[in-house]
Amino acid sequence: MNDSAVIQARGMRKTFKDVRALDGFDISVERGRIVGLIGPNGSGKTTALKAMLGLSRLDEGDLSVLGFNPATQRAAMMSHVAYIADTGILPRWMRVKDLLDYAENVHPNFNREVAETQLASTDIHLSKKVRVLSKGMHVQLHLAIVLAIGAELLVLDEPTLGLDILYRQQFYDAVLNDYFTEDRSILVTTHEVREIEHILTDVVFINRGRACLTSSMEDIATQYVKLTAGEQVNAPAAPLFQRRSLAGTEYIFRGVPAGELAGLGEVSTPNLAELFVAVVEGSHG
Amino acid sequence: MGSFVGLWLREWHEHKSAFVWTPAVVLALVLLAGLSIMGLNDHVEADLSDVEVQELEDKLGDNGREAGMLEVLTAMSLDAAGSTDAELVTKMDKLLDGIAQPFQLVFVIVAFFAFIGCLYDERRDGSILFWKSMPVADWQTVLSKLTFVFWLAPLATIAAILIAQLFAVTVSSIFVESGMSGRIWAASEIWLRPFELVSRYLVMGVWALPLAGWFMLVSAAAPRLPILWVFGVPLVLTILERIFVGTEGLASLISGHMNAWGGAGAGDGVQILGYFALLGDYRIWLGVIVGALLLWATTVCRNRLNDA
Repeated sequence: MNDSAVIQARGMRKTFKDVRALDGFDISVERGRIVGLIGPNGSGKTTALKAMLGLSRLDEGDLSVLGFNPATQRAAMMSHVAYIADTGILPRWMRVKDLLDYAENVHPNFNREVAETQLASTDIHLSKKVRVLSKGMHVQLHLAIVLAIGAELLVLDEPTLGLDILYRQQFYDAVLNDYFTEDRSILVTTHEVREIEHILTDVVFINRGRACLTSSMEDIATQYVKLTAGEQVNAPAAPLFQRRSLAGTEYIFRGVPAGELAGLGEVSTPNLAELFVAVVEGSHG
Repeated sequence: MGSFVGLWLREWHEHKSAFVWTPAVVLALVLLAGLSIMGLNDHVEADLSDVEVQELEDKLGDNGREAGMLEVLTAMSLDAAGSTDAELVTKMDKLLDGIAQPFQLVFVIVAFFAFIGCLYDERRDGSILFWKSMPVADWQTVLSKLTFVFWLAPLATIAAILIAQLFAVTVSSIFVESGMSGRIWAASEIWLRPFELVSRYLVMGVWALPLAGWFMLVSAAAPRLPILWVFGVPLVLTILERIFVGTEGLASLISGHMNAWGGAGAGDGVQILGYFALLGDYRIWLGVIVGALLLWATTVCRNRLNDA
């Protein structure tokens, strides 16, 4: 096992009745990285996250999170891992103050001052019940608790789902500025790929329970090229993927230097959404 | 232990309205009923024959003319002057145990609903994902919920019972025949009542372990409507056993265990050791083993339920 790997998973398999949710999924998250786990609904994202958080057990595969086996050592592992889910999961009947008391009492690394400082910059009052908080405030509160825990690994499962644009921006700003350091790692899934594209250091594409692309963002920028041409062109190599759009024909190449395509049309780096489609469709074609 | 304090506090925040406000409301009703009966003057005497009234007024002495229904009833039922010390102890015990009963009944109901909701509600509202994001093992969660309901939540009920009993003894001692109030206080054994109540709830938790284990297992496992599963499963099993095996083993096991509590603490006067005597019954320890197995199954269920 790699010493700097925070998450190390090989050959994760999990079947629900007839559905193969994970079919040999591999992932590795290094310290100081922000990894996006990107895939469509039903691709196995949530199943993989649940296994990593010790919420469900794999049928097969090796999985280690910060050296812990999540299936058998969840409680010990969660001293170092924090998690924000797509739905508001904070207990709605609790007062904010009591929630902080709870975290302070059960979590060895919880720093109440950090949480209260963080909350002071929001409209969340300590005497309020979680029930009366808006969805945006709910996420702000959860983030304040996560920041106060100072976990080594933060797992975000569609954290901004249902939030308005202002809260989304604030959320990722806070994650980057207040949480992230070179000693910490983030694993994030979202439908809104564009929203997180600029903060990721690495991506893992998941489709049908398997990783279909694992790469750093630097490597994506150097390896993949998008060419938009007015009409069909004779490309120097077979494209990974091509499609017709309003702007003309779009090609995505792998391992073709941008310079070789320069004269054929507009050359750019594909965004993650385009690359995902190219990789998934390309692998089927 | 640090984390258990946090877990108990969590239970306290979730259940304080049920476990504190319910006995408080019962206490208010009991006190109110007592005071309102005291206020009903004169009407009482209409229901009594002249001779009875005269007798009572003689007994009540100076207080006689001003006496209300409660005083009259107190004087009639206690009849301190006409009772031996032992008889008075029995009478006071009946009175004070009677006063405790509504509190104890309400506690059992509240505890039942706390148990069947404790691991079901967190699944329904999704907060289980938050609780599980904290470094708390499933067995710690299960154990904290169990111990809270059994041995911490009753403290509020015990306090309410003691206040009601103190009120009853005070009223009895004021309105009893002249010169008898000292005997009333002595016969009430009021200073031993806290120990009786504490020992009652300590032992009751041990006795009720298999019941709590079953309630919590259903709470952790039922897909919906845990209350139906709690009663439905034993009922169906009992019926199936009767049809296919022709025996009533499960039913007699359950009723045997329920009846084991029946005699606990019964007797004249305060029965502190009476509750602990129950621990000498092998059926209680059989129940503890069954309860421990059910709690273990509950922990496994809470650990695995996210697999679905």
